[in-house]
Amino acid sequence: MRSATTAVPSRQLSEYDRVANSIYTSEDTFDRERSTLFASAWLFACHISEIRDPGDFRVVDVNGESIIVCRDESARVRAFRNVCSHRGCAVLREPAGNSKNLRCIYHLWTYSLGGELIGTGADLRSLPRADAYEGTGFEKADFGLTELAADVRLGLVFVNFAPDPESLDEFLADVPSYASPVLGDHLEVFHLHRSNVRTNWKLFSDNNREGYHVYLHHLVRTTTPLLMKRGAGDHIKWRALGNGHAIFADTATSAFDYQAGGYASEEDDLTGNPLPGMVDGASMLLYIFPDVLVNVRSNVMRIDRMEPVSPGMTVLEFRGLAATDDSARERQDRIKTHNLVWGPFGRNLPEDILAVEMQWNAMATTTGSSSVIARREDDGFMDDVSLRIFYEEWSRRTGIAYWSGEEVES
Amino acid sequence: MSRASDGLDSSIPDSALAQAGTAVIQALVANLRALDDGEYSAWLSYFADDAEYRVSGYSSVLRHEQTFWCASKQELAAIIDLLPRQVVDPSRQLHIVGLAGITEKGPWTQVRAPFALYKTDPQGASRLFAVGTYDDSWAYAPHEGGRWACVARHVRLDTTELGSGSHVPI
Repeated sequence: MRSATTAVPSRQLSEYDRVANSIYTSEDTFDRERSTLFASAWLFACHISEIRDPGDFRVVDVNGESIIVCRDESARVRAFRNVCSHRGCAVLREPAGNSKNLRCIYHLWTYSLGGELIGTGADLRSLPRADAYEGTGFEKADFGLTELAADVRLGLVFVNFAPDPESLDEFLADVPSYASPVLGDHLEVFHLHRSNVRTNWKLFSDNNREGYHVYLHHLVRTTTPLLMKRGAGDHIKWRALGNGHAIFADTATSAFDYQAGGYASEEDDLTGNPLPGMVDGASMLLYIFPDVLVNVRSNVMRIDRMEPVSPGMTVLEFRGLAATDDSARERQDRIKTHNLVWGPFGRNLPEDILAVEMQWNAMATTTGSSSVIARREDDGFMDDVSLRIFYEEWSRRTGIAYWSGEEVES
Repeated sequence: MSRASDGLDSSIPDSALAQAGTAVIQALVANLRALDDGEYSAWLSYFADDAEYRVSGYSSVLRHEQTFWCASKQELAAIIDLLPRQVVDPSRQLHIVGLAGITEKGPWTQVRAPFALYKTDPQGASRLFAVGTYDDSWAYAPHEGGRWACVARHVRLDTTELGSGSHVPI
């Protein structure tokens, strides 16, 4: 396949500069994404701080399936399908907790934290025929939970549905070398909220990946704090990190102007106290293909995860992260800074969600339309290069040409 | 926040004390009606100058209460000033307030009121946005004609899946 990101611009709009809107609305495309891209890519499940100790578990929906992510007795991170081997009931129904074992509520089949079946319920209730499986050929060893590949890098817990996946290091390519000073287990989640959004998951991903709207959708109304001092961030470039991942990172000069954005009074200083690995006033946007955004505004971090439910429905999961060793005052300031922009009552997040819902609604009611991802600004903030990086990888993994919505010609 | 601040007084006439529960609940309902009508300045006028406004919800994942919004009256006023320049949800909102209970009665009267907040879009489709409880403290202000002013509002949300969220106070 020719490269969308390396194609030389010409006087005519390249086919790679368009996205067929059908890829956002088509059931077939959605099914293909599930069976190819999401079935083979490493997918973010939770932050390591959510399962710190042996027995800690999270139940998360990934690629349409309920998954248990837990720490076993030896603190190893494991992942299992949340489906009882007995009659298919969900084993766990709480989204998080700590337990010595994993027990289904229906017939009390009980699994170790390593997924082995260790009890079939009858033993717990002194049933008269506790041995009723004897002589049937039933062996507990054959009925453990179905395990998925799980691994941790940068404090991020990933799972993979493939039976023999590529290594997480291979998948992440250059991500760790750029993100390791910032991401890690020195952080913890202080905020988590979910939104059921009537849009395609890629439209929210696109919203996160392009800076054009930041200056127009938000900034024209002077409500964004991402008011990089004019010209100060011009030298910063999008950088491809391989496999569809990308980063836009600054070291110091894109100072946020909360006062100019109307977020803070003149005496209310919301800057300072940068997160470990960050410099005061710096920012970082890291996209881990296919569906994770890490957005850092110097002193607070947001991680978004997208859970596609259908072509027109996506569950967005928003996390706010802070340093584990924060003082109470530092934490309070980070929470406030986070909420002002990224909370459910923040200034920016509701605007983004309204936009991507309107976008999908319009796409779903028209046929044959396409979108444009042609902006070129020498890989600067408002360049669409991050979108082209994403869609090139998306087409490689799904086998669908993003510019036509048809099969990629071999 | 000091109870003696903002012209609020710890003294209260017997007649006002007798009516405190009713008066505060009526003020709460009128306050929310102003919000539903988009009369944000009127909504804000029910708050004392040093009032605190907080919205929170319990996270069953993090297993602790998380603050979604914490603001002073001045910060709320700044947010309201921004609304005309934001891309806001065009839906109308409507509070349905349940049976309110007075948990403390006096110059400072505390009220707890469950609520449901619905949003109706321009096409007329309504959806439930959130349910929760108002946990309010109201103070008697004898120097302002004996009105009651909200000195602290804590919106405790049961709902933490909040759709597109909201720029508007709830």
